[in-house]
Amino acid sequence: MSQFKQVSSTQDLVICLDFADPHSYLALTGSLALVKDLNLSVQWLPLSAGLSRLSSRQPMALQQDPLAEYKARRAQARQKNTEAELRRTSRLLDIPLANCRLPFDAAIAAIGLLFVNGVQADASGYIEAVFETVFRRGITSNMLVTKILSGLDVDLEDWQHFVQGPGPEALQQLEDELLSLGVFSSPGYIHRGECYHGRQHLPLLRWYLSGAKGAAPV
Amino acid sequence: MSRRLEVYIDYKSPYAFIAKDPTYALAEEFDVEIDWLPLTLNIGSYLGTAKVSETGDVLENKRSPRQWAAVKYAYMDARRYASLRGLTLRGTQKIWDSSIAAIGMLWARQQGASILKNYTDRVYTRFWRRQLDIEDAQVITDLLHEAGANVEGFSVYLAGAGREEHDQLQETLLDLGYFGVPTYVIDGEVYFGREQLPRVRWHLAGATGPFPDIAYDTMLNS
Repeated sequence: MSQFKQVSSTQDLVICLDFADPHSYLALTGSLALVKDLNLSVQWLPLSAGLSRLSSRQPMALQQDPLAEYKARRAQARQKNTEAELRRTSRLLDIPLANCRLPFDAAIAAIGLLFVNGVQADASGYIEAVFETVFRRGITSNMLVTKILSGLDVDLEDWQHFVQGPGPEALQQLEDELLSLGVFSSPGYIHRGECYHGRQHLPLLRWYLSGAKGAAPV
Repeated sequence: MSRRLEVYIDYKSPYAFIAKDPTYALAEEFDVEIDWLPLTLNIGSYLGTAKVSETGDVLENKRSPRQWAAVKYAYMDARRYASLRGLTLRGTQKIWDSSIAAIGMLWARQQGASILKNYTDRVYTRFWRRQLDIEDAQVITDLLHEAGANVEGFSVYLAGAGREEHDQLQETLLDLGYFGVPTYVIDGEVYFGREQLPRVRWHLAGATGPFPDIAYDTMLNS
């Protein structure tokens, strides 16, 4: 477990991204700019268990739940909004809409980020490469992680040991830890122990991390 | 030609509360009249239900740990922005039925924009200070009166046509795909959340230039 890192409490910013989520990809440019502009120390972490995917949000069976019909209709309405947001996201990323809907199990890519965190100081190159490969090139094979890692200065044998050994458990532990800290949605940010879900918070985070001068962007 | 901007809110939503003033500011900047309408959330259906005491002790709990996480985050998130603006936002102790206050909104709306604004400002401010029982018809009637509304006939409206209008509206909104607050509708586009205000601004400015990303932006400072 030497490569497993817990959530940092000493970095300026912790940034949690879901490699299967186009909204995380869209948040990357602004997040990288924030880190670079303010010369921040940052910990990049994977997040692949968003609240909306969890079974606790699933409606009960129709016969047990008097609100089942309402819930189903609301879920449909929510789905409509999700689709509209995906269209906007694909427009902003300048990628085909279909690439926002690719079925991609991000677990291996997430374990890859834990591995890179353990062996390199800056994981941003790996993160950019995964997002570009999935969303811009439309490649979702799990082999993409090994391919990307082979382009980085890492030991692929160590990677194989990690992904077949402690990696999956480390990811599960991290997700439990993130949930206990209140991070359940991507992109998620932690600054001074406080969580921020969504890239809409970047202006406020920039304001805080710049010393909270002038009017707050509220 | 005057643009039409529809904004859907619920008085029991902390997110809608903190979206109110930036939305007013945007409308003023572009001289657009907002059509405010109620979207009454059934929060218990998707976030479970619970009751807490004045001191925060849980008295009744029908929420999963993850639902609690979502609820706690929502209040914390809204509160940090509210406090930066000097607004008081105290977490609610139960899930309120805000439909009477919403019918009050429909009543005030018929009497003009300034009366509606007076009413909405009062409901939001007092409710989030825990100083307003929005389930009490008399309290809402008094508040409408205080906001400058003629309240003659309101009790009949509340029990009859107003209730029907409200309930029918909620059905229609679900069919249209509006599920949360604040929801903004402009130029046929539907935007959910205060973070969409930069995009609403983009529409109001003529939809030219690059399409903006979402942000909790500086509508009040611009």
